[in-house]
Amino acid sequence: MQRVGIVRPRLLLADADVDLQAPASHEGRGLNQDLALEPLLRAMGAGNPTIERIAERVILDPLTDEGAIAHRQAVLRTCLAHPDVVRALFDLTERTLERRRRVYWGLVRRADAIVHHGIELIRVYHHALREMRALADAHAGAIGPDGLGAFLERVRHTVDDALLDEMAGHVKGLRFRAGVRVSARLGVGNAGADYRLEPPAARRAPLRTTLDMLWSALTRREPAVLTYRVPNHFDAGVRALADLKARGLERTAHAVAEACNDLLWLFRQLHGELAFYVGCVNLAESLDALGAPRCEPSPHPVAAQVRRARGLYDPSLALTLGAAPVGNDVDADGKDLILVTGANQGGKTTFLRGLGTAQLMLQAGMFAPAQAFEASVTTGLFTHFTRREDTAMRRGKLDEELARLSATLDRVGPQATLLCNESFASTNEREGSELALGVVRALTESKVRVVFVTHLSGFASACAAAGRAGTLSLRAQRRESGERTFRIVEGAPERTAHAVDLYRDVIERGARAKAS
Amino acid sequence: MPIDVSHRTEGAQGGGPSVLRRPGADTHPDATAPDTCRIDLHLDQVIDAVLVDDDLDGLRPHFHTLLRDPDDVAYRHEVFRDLADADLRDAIAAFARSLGRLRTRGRWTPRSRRPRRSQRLHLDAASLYCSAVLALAGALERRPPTSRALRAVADHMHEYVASQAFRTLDDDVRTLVRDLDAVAYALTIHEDRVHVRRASDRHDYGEDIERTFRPFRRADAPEALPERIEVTEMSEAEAAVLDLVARQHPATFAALERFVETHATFVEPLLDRFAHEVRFFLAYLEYTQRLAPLGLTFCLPTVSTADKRVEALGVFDVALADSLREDAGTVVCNDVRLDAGERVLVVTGANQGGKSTFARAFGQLHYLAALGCPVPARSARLPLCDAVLTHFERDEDLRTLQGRLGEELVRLGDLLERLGPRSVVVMNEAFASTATDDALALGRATLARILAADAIGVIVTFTDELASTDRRAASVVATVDPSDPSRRTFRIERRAADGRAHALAIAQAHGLTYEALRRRLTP
Repeated sequence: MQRVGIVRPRLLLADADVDLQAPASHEGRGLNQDLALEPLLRAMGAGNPTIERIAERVILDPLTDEGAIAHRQAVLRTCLAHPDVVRALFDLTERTLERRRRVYWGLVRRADAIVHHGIELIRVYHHALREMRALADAHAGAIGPDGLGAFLERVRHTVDDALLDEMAGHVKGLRFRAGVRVSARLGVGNAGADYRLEPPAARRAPLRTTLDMLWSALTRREPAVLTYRVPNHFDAGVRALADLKARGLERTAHAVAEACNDLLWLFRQLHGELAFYVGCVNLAESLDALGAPRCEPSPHPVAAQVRRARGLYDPSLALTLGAAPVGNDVDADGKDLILVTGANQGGKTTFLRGLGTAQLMLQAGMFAPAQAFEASVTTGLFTHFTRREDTAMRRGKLDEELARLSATLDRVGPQATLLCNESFASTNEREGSELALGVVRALTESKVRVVFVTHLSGFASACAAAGRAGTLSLRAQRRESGERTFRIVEGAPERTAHAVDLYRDVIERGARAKAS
Repeated sequence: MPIDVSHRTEGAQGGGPSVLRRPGADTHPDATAPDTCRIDLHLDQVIDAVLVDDDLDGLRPHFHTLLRDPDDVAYRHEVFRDLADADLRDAIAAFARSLGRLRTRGRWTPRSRRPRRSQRLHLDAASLYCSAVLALAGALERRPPTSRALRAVADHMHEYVASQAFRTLDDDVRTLVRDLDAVAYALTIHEDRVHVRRASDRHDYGEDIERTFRPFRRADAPEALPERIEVTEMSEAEAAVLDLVARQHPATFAALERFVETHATFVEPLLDRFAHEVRFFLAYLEYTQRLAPLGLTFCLPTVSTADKRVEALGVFDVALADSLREDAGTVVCNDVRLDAGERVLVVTGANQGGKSTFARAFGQLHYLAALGCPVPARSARLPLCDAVLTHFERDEDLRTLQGRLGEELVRLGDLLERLGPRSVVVMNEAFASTATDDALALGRATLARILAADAIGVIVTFTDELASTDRRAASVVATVDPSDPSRRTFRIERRAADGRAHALAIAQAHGLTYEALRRRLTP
């Protein structure tokens, strides 16, 4: 019987399988460090390291297609509404993979050994699929037609009673109670070739009937069945028979090994994809317990240049502090450069991290750490944070910093977003400002979006002095009294004496270079 | 282990036509060239590369023997011309390969430990032989050769294929192979015993399992391959099973036994010899074709025993070309000419200018021409030499007590001793260990001996005066191309260093100035 449909989870992407075994990219690990995502990932894992690993892997590999984001948002909506179903399914995959680990498989490659172990594995998967069917039967109708509902529907349709019965039949048949029966032809040197395994007989057929023996005796012809017995259980002879058996089992072993590989892939993939959603449910519960708001964000097309938030916060910091966070409002629609200046310890870095994390969560299809958040997707999120621990390098400090920045910029393209935190601080103020101006100008002209937290007052005021429509200036708020509120509000940077000179210097040199 | 299927006479003088030697060519003995000349000319490397397969080693003597009669050379040239037809060449190559494989099959004897196995191997060898013969016979009909050598083979083949002996062999093989292929049997295997039945249904249970699990199959999933049990020898149990199968198919197996008795030997000796000898041509052609991607061509030279003029265009060093093949280097080709009255080329000029390479190529050209083979040149007209006498610098041999010059003089004495009117001399940087005046005197004396013997040759020397000694010695100068492509220049831009631009300079180095970054980010 030919069955339709192939069982794939397709919960993370509607049209492809995400390779969850691959480690996070080098770039991704940098993002994780700069945005300090550790507490967020720990809350998602809630003690399960697999969930933590998968969450990191998925979050650091942002989607850029709004349709794909919508698919995940839809699946997540169901999961948040039916946390028990997701968790039950996830637990089932985790149990199954654990049972599989207990069946020794290792480097077994001989056909008879593969079949021997394969029976045990198929038994494990048979149980799991039966359980999954029961789960699907119980819930499929109730949870809607989105990714998870569709998967359960596929399970109900494909893993039908007939398939489960056949699997049980193979588990029994592969024990070969009636001996292994193979057929063969004569190959090179008349050795057996093209061995094929006969389907195991339902019951043991009598080998030699009385009639047959009588017939051969009367006709003096060879009986239909002849027997060879290994003399005195001679070891080499017994081994030779085992070899014959193994050759007969080759194709079956191949089929069994492939079935086991395929089922292992299915359970691993399902386990991994569900892990992400279970992580989201865990995180939602943690944030809710803190009274930290969350919302389903609206993704916009790349070109729309939308970036708007109400009550935006850094979820990692909130989880670390264990308290409801201070939220910020920002309206940066149409802005390609956000400049953040102001006092130390005023929440600039936290704001930058919150913005980056919200963007990543949006593009992972998750909820956002804000009361409301909408943004254009970006083609890539990059960070350049001054790393204090990097100062003791063999190379000069500036040289090291610029090498790192240059490597990052090798990968940015149009509509990517670069988050800079105190970049160019490894040289003096004037030189740093000059470099920053040149780099930021080249980036914005190349359609790269930049968010820049800086102390370089020359750079900041030169940007402000340029009066570009695409620049949004923000400042860490400080009351008249000098008290910090940790809020980031709109406000121009302080002007410095040499800013205008600097601006003229760089821009004019750029114009000269263009002209030549 | 060679199979006992023919009375093979290895590389031999046995009767019947040979593709390597013209019938009745034995009137004058050929010159076997000494090893030193092949080593000096790097032809040992070339011959090793041509005879790369172990079973070609029997052909080595033919690469050590120079042909003296232009008609012997023509006899081989004709074969090379026939083999320029790719269809014919492929057919002959396939035949040679098949007959070569018969040698590596097992030997059948009536006392074999596994008679049914040996009998079947014998049958399969006969089957391979019959198809090879029929395929070659067909090819020779479709593409009639024109060379004397291959025409003789074609005629012989035509007769042989029509002979009663071959027809019987071929019929017996076909019938028996068909009957044995039809045998199918089923085994029920237990730990220490096995039951054998005739089989009819040949369904594999693996297919059922594949069908069950198809819903989980992904097109891009990696394949899980179980280990294959490689069987080289037939086990006792397998042989016992085979005996039981034979009892169930008595007529077929009796026919197999009769077959090995009737056709104990079946390879026709002349064809066997042809299959071996023709690989001289095939192996050499295969080698020359390796160099074709470098744009290097071989040609069949015009040879003469009367005319001493040399005119060869696009000559190259074969061994050097072959070693440059992997790193795709360019091989320099030279034109070589000795006009009427000229006998020796005296090569002088810059070091590393390719002088030794030129001398080697000159020697290779004459040596390979005397094998009757295509030579490394675009076109060539040469005298047919009977010896290539070489004098190259040796690594100093500490056993000789005479010192370096003494050792050289001894070798040179031997060389001059063997000098004859049909010799080709290749001398490379002789007397380098002695003073210029002495070297010139020795060089002049040697040159005079060569000219007196009316031999031809090439002398590479560092004494320029040798080039103007005699009218019959033509001077050749190696030059170095001034626009040597191996010399690269890096443009150095000078710029005054000033402290203020330090950061900018570092940014520049990383491509992070405004201008540089714009360029980088513009697709």
